[in-house]
This record gives sequence, C-alpha cells and structure tokens, in this order.
Amino acid sequence: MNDTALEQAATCLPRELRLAALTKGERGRYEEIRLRAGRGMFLTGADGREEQVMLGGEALPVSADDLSLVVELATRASFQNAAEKLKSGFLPLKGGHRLGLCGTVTVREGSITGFRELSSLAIRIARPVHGFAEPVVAQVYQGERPSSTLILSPPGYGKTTLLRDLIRLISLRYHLRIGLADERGEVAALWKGVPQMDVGPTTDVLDGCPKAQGLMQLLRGMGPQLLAADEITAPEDVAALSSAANCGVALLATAHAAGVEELGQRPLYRELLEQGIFQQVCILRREGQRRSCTVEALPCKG
Amino acid sequence: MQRLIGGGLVVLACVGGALHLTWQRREVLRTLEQLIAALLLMERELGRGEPDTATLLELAAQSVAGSASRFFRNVGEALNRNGERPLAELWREEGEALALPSSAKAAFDAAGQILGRYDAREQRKGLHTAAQTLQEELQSAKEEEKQTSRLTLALGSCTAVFLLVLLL
Repeated sequence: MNDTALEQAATCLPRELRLAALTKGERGRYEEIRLRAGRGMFLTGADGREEQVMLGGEALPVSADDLSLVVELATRASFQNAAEKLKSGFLPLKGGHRLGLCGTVTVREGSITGFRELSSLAIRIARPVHGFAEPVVAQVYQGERPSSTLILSPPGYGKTTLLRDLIRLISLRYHLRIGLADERGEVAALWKGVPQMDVGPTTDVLDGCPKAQGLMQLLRGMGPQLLAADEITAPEDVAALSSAANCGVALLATAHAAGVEELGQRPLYRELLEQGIFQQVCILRREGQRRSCTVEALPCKG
Repeated sequence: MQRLIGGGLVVLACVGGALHLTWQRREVLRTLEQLIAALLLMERELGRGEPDTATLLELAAQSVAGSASRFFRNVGEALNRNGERPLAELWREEGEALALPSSAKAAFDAAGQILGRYDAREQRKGLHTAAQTLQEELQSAKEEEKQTSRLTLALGSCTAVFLLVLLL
C-alpha cells in the first residue's frame, strides 16, 4: 500500500514525534494520527482501533507545547490565515489531509477564533481510492451525457470518496468541463491553487465558498457541463441545484440517507425528489469492510 | 617628544572610548525606533488583509533599516527554511544580535510569542502592546542618553587629562 500519505501527513509533527510515527510498520493501513497532551501519540487503523506509539517500552511523551508546535508547523506560523478555515471544524493540510483540534477555545461573536490551550489533535490522513467509482461510472455517464446523480449513504460510508472518483473518471474519460463547488475543501483539497486529490484534468474547483453561491458562480463563470457538490444540507443548495438543472447542466451531489425511502421522509430532500432534479441515485452500502454501490433510477417527473 | 605622542594617544583613546559609549547608546535608540516602526507596520498590515507571517516579516524588513531590517529578514528566511522550530524561538535567537536593554528585549520577545499563533485581532493587540512598551523604553533611554552623554564625554576628557598629567 502507498505509505507516502502517512509520511506527508506527518510532516507537520515535531521531529521526534514524526520519527516515532514513521517507525510503525504497515504505514499504509493508518488513517489518523492523534496526539493527546500528557497522554501520548496514537495511530488509528482502518478498523478504527487506536494503537499507542511507544518509545523504549514507554508511552511517547506529548506535551501541550508539542500540540502548539504542530499547529504552527501546519499553518507555517500564520494562524491568522487558518482561523477562518477553523470554523468548518478543521484546518486543511497540504496533501488533502485535515487537522482537527481540541482544547480551550476562544470565542468571539459566536465563532471560534482560536485556541487558548490545546489538549488534543487529530490528523486525518487523506488517501484517494482510485477505481472506487469504476462499477458505476458507465451508469452515471450513459450515451452522450451524464445523468444527474445523487449519491446516498449514511455518514462514513465513503460518499465523498465516491464523488471524487466519479468526477476524476468522468473528467479523464469523457473530457467534460466539470465545475466542483468544494465548500469545505474535502473533495479536491486545493493547496495554493492545485488540487491535492486527483479530480481529473478538466475539473474547475471553487473552494471555501458556500455551496449555493459556489454553484451559481461556477454556472455563470465557468460554463460547466457537469456541476458537482458534496453534502446537500440547506434549502439554498436545493434552489441552486434546481437553477442549474434548469440551465441544462448535469449534476452530481451527495446526501446523508440510507436510501430513496429515507430521502423522501426529509422535507429538504423530498423537495429535491419532487422537482425531479436528479434522474438517479447511487446508493453506497457496507458489509463489514466491503463497500458496494448500486445505481437506481428515480421516477420521472412532469 | 615620545611622552607627548604617548600623551596624545591616551587622550585620543579616552575620548574615543567615550564617543564609542555614546554611539552605542544612540544605536540602542535607533534600534528601538526602528523596531517600534516595524511592529506598528505589522499591526496595520494584519488589520488590512491578514497576510501570512513570512510576508509580514518581509514587509517589516523593507520598511526599516540597519540591524532591525536584518533581524526581520533573517527571521523570515529562517521561517521559510525551518520545518522544526517555533517562530518564537527563531525570533528570540535572532534578537540576541539587537542592541537592546534586557527589559526592552523581554518586551520585544513577547511579540515573537504572539506572532502567527493567534487570530489577527489577538496578534494586533500583542504587537501594539509590545510597541507601546518599546516606546516607553525609548523615552526613558532618550532621557538617560541626554544625561549620560555629557557625563561620559566629561569623564572621558577628565580621565585623559589626568593620565596626561601623570605621564608628562
């Protein structure tokens, strides 16, 4: 397995901690690095279990200063640029990895502006899963153009991973102009303008912009043939998708729901179904470690 | 004749020593003035568009001269090179080369503890506080300089005359 992702994610650790993290075998199987002040460093495997990193038979010491240094290294000593991003819950790192923080926060006007003291942090290691969308790409792109598809699953099943790989494959194979509204930077993970996750050569990414505004901006400014967005959560998102659909642009999006029935039970998503914005849904399922996806057509409207 | 030349050299050395002490004190004043200007510039820039810290340091280096300019440039370069050490540590180490009294150095180091570690508003507050403290240091250094420069020169001259009399 590719182990460079762990190495890249560990670059924001202080030297001693980084070396200790990289001494672990099977680097490719770790999904998170967690540091807890006074308790140590842990690596989380794909099964969700945490393994404590030991040094000479004892827990590797981690102090609050170590945590501060991680943030400093991750932000290149420019927390002022990261403070805004922190509102989305994490700091994006080079390579598409994410840094989540915990501790005593400072709040101003209802928003978290920083941390007075840090108690723990988690670096979530990003790994693209190339080929994940292979079984469904032919069903999403049928004939001359893609069908508007909504990806469904409960949280943690890999909706974002599937969306990213679908975008990559459609861009790569069909050379479609794709506009991606990546509000939280989770799909393409832009870093200095360059996507850190492969979203194909013909994808234009709008990062950090609220989805509804982002979709309209992409529609007006970039002339996309396919618009993509992660996690439809607000009425404004639905309105923007509806406008885009009326302009004849195909859509790719994700939503939290186990299936069409559950989708129809929620007012927001019911509206999506009633408007007939999407022609089909792609449902992700998980059995143990195995994940599968199937495409189902939605009944035609109007 | 030899005594006369020796005497002349002693006078020159004493006056030179006194002038050097005066120059050192003036260098402290110059450094303080430059550092205050740079800290206030950084505070303003943080209020405008929140540039990253490396850019802030470069702007500060460009806005001042002499040892203060070297300080900001060196810290900026060390930050760009550095992958391991906190900015506060680089700031403190580089600051050792500045001609500052210990109380001013402590206030200046405090700015390094804040820079890049908090949101822009907190950093601006910290930079402003440090600049204010340095301003107070500058005022007292100026007053002290007025009093001591004449004294130093007078003492230097007296020592020279005394040694001259002894020698001749």
